[in-house]
Amino acid sequence: MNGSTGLSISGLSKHYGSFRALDAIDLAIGAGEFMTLLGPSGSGKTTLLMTIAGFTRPTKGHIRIAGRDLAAVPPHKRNFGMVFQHYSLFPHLNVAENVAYPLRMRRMSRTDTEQRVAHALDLVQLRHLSDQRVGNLSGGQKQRIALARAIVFEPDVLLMDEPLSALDKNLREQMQFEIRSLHDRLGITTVYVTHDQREALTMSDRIAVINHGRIAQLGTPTDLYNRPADSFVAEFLGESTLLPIERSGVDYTLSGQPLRHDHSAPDARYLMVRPEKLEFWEPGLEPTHNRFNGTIEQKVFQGDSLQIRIRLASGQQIVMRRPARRTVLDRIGEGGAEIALALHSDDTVLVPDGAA
Amino acid sequence: MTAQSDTAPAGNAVPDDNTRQLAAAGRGETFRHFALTFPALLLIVVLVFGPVGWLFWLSLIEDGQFSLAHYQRMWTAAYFEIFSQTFRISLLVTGLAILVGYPLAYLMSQLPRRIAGLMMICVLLPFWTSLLVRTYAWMVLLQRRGLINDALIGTGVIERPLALVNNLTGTVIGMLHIMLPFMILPLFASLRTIDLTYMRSASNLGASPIRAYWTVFFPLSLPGVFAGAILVFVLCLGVYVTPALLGGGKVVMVSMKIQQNAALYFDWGAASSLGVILLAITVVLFWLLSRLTRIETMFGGG
Ligand SMILES: Nc1ncnc2c1ncn2[C@@H]1O[C@H](COP(=O)(O)OP(=O)(O)O)[C@@H](O)[C@H]1O
Ligand SMILES: [Mg+2]
Repeated sequence: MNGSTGLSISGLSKHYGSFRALDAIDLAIGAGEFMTLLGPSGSGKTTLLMTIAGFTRPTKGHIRIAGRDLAAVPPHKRNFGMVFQHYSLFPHLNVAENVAYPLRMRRMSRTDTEQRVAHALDLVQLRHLSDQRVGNLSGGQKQRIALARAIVFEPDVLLMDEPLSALDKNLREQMQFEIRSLHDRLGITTVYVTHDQREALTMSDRIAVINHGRIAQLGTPTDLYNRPADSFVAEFLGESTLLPIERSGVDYTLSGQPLRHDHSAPDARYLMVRPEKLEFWEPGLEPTHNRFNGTIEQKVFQGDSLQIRIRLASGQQIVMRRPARRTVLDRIGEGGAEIALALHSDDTVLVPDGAA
Repeated sequence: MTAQSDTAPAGNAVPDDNTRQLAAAGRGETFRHFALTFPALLLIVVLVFGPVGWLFWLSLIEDGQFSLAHYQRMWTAAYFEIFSQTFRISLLVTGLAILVGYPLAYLMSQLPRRIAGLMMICVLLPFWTSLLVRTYAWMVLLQRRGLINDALIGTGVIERPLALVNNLTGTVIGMLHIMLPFMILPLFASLRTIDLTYMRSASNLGASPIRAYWTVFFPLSLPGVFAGAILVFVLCLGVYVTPALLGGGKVVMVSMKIQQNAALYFDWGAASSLGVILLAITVVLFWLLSRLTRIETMFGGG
C-alpha cells in the first residue's frame, strides 16, 4: 500500500454566523507525512478535519490534493480513510464485513476483497476476530478494526479524530506506537487530531498547534517544544513556567537581572523555563548560563523524578525537575534552604504574548 | 476455613466466621428489592392472567358442564374463513402501515427536534378524537356521494363513483388511519437513536448517500420496524368498530363474531373460545417469528 499524495490547504475559513471556527488556515501536508492538529477543546480541530473529509462545507478557501480542488467532490468520492473517536463500526456487520465494507462499495471482486481484508486484519493483528460481532470487542480492538477499515482501500489520506481518547492510558500509549509504526510501513499521508500534547509529540512528523481557528505554530515536535512561537504554545506543549520580563534597550531583564539568551522574538514578554532544563549552579557555568537565586519552597516526589518549587529572590515561583537520584537528593536541602540555579543561554527562551 | 480467619488475631480460638450471617443478609436484601415489584406483579396477575384464565374457563363450559363443544363447533370452513380474513387484513394493514409510516418516521428523525415535535403532534392528533367519530368521518369521506368521489368525478378523473366504503377497501383505509401512530411512534423512537456518524462513516468509506442508506441505515432501522409492526399487527387482530362500520357486513373479523356471540346470543362460551383460539394462533405466530428472525440477538451488545 502506498498513499503518497500531499494535501494542500489554503485560506480555509469556516464561519458559523459571526463566529469563526476556522480562520484562514494555510497548511501544506507533505506526501506520506504524519501531521498532527493539536489544540485545546473548541479550537476548531474537528471542524478542520471534517472540512477535509467533506462533511463540512468551508465558507472560504481551498483544499487541494495533487493539485485538484476538492470543493465539488462529495465525501464518498474523496477516497480518504477516517477513524472516528467512537469507532463507528457498523453494529449489524461482523468484523470482516466491516473491514470489507469500503471494498464492497468499490465493487471489488470477492477474492480480492477476502485477500485485502485478511491483510488489513493482519496489520492490526486481529485476524482471529474476523467472525466476531463488533459489539463483543474491547475498546482497543474496536479502534484497531476501525483503523483496518480505514486503510484497507488504500486511501490517499488517513484522517483520525482523537481516536485514542476513549482508551485508558496504557492502551493509549501502546496504540500510539502501533499507529505510528503502521504509518511508517504504509507511508500514508496522515492527519491526526488530538488535544493531548504528549501524544502529539510522540507520534508526529510535524504538529500544527491550533488556537481559536488559527494555526498558532507549525513545526516539528522539537521545534515546538524548544522554540515555541508564543506563550500559548509554550504553555500548551509540555510543562513550563512563564516569567514576565522587561525590555531595556536591546536587551531583556528579569527583575533587573540581564538575561543571557540565544533566541528571542521581537516582542518577547516572557521567559519560558522548562523544569528539566534547570540545573544546579556551578562556578564553571558562568560564561554560558544565567544564574537565579532562590529558596526551596516545596519538594514533591513523583517516582522517577523530583519536582522542586523554588521562590526566586524576585518573588516569582519557578519549577525544577531532576531525576530522583541519590546525588540529586543529597544536593537539595530542606524547605527554606537557599539554592542557586543555572539555565543555559540556549534554553533561555523569550516568547511574545500569545492569545490564550 | 474462610479467608477471614487468616487475618484474625493470632491466638483467637474461635474463628470469627460470619459467612452465614452475610449470606442471610444478602438474601434479605434481594427479597426486599424484589418486594418493590410485588404490587406491579399483583396487578399483572389480576388484570392479565385473571381475565384470560376466566375466558379459558368459560370456553370449556357448555350448559353448565365441562365440554369441548365450543371448539368443535368452530371446526368449519366458515370459521376458518373468518380467522383467515382477520389475519390477512391485519397483515395487509401492517404492511401498508410500514410503507406509509416509514418514510414519515424517517423524515421526522432527520428533521430538527422542534419541527419533528410539531409533526409528532400532527401524528398524534387523531388520538384526541373518539374512534367512533373518526370512523364515521371516513364514511362521510368515502361513501358513493362522499367528498372523495365527488371530487374525483368533479375533476373528471373518474365517471362513476368508486366503491370505497362498505367493503374491504373502506375497512383497510379506516384501520390504516387508526394504526399509523402505533407504527410511527416506536419507529421514530428507534430511528432517532441511530447515530449519524454511521452514515458519515459509510460515506467516508465510499458509499453514495443511497447506498449508505440501504447498507447501513436501513438494516439498523429494522428492529424499530419490527417493534412497530408487531404492535400494529396485534392491535389489528382485535379491532372491532372499524370493520363493523366500514365493512358494510362484507368484512367479518373475529372480533365481530365475538361481539355477535356475546351481545346477540348471550353465548359467552362461544365468544370465549373464539378469543382463546385467536390468542393461541397469535402466540404461535410470534413464537415462530422470533425463532426465524432472532431480532434480539441480531443487534445484541452493539
Ligand atoms: N455546526 C456548528 N454550529 C455552530 N458552531 C459550531 C458548529 N460546529 C462547531 N462549532 C463551533 O466551532 C468551534 C470548534 O469546534 P470543533 O472543531 O469541534 O473543536 P475541537 O474539535 O477543536 O474541540 C466550537 O466552538 C464549536 O462550538
Ligand atoms: Mg473535536
